[in-house]
Amino acid sequence: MWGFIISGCVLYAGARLSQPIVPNYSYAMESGPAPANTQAIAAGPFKGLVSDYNILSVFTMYDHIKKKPLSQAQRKLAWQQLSSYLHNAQHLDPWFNDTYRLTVGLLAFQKGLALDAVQILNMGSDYIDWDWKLPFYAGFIAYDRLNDQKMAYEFMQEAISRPNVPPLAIGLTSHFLQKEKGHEASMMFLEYLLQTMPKAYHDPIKQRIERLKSQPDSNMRRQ
Amino acid sequence: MSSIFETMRFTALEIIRMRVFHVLIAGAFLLPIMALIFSNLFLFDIAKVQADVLISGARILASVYILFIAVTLLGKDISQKICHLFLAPPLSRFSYLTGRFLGLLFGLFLLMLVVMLTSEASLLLMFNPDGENGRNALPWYTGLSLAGFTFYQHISLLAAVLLICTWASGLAEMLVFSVAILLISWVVPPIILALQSPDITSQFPTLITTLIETIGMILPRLNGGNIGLALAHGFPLSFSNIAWHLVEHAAYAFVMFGLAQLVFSRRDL
Repeated sequence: MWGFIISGCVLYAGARLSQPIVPNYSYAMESGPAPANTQAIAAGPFKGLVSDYNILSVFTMYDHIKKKPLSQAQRKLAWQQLSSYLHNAQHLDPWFNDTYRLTVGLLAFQKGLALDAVQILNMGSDYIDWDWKLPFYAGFIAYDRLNDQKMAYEFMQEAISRPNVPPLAIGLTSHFLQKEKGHEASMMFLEYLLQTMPKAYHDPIKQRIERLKSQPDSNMRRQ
Repeated sequence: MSSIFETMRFTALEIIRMRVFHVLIAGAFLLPIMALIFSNLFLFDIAKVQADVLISGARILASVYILFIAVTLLGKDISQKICHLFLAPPLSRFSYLTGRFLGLLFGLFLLMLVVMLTSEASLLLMFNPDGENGRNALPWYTGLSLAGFTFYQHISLLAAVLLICTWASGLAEMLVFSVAILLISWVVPPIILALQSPDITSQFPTLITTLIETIGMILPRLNGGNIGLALAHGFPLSFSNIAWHLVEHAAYAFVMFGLAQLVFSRRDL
């Protein structure tokens, strides 16, 4: 009897150890997220947990984008999927701060995804109506990445009308609205973002700062 | 009254001695550990993620309790005629079913009490109001709220399962219908919410929308108007929001309990 049990244990351990612990493919990357409404229905009363899962998928996707050699098309698809995961997380739990921090840190400075970032922040801003940060971030992205002064003005006006807005935000808003000081204000705001984001997510913001430093003020919003 | 109390006491003892119950209690101790491990994968809202895992875990434990303890106990009683041993004077059918229901409620209460204590302990351990990267702090009573909230919501589900068990013919049938009502009550509220979106409403025939809304009305709402999300974020809940939710579940439990008594009193045992 003991022979059966011990040989079974040895075989089982051997079989387990001979398989790779981390598979060579990523589920998150292969399939992409299910649509937000489908996820909400499947989640039932576990909406919070499914929202957390979407944020975990964002980490996985970002890790793949950074570390795996991807073709241009694969990279573009990966960024689009990462954006979809953030949209889903926002849809399932609109009060989850990680969604908005990652949106600002990752999507905002990615080519072609700034509008997605503004959309996510705008939707979150409706729910988190006591915080000035989300409309301010949306306004900054609209100003810096989309070059849409009108949209930026509307978001920043909304931000400074909210309670507990710090003098820094009011000062930056007035600077953004004066063309000649916009460049300097952008740099200040990006430095502020760096202080609030973990080191692992500094790269896109640092790249943006470098680009701003290396280019003349008049051209900076075209990049 | 004493016969109801005796049946309740007997039921509670029966449940406490069940191995499934011991496993669920062990699960309640493992839950905060799982929550701590999972939440540390995140960057900022760590306490929120921890609360999400605790709330979801409490719900799963309560649902497993209902399916594998309540249904099994009532199913054996009714389908294997064990209830004949109880149903002799002075114990009436009403007293028997009431005692069984209260005993099952007590077992669920004990389970949620352990969940509450372990959750409170883990949340206090991680309490970090001035931590880095905006780690948010939850109110000290979050563990209490989430366990109490889960217990309260599952009273109505337990009453619905009581009705199913008094009506269905055998253990397998009881289990299938109980699983079905649990799953439907999870899935239908988000469908109704999605149907309220103008884009979707315009594509669906009115008959189907009305049908789904009617199904939604006859099931307890376990989502509870995002109360779970509000608890996880530590938002203060409005009195009216909580009060109406409590009234909704109490009324639902009363109706199901009354129907179960009615069906059981007429059942050919």
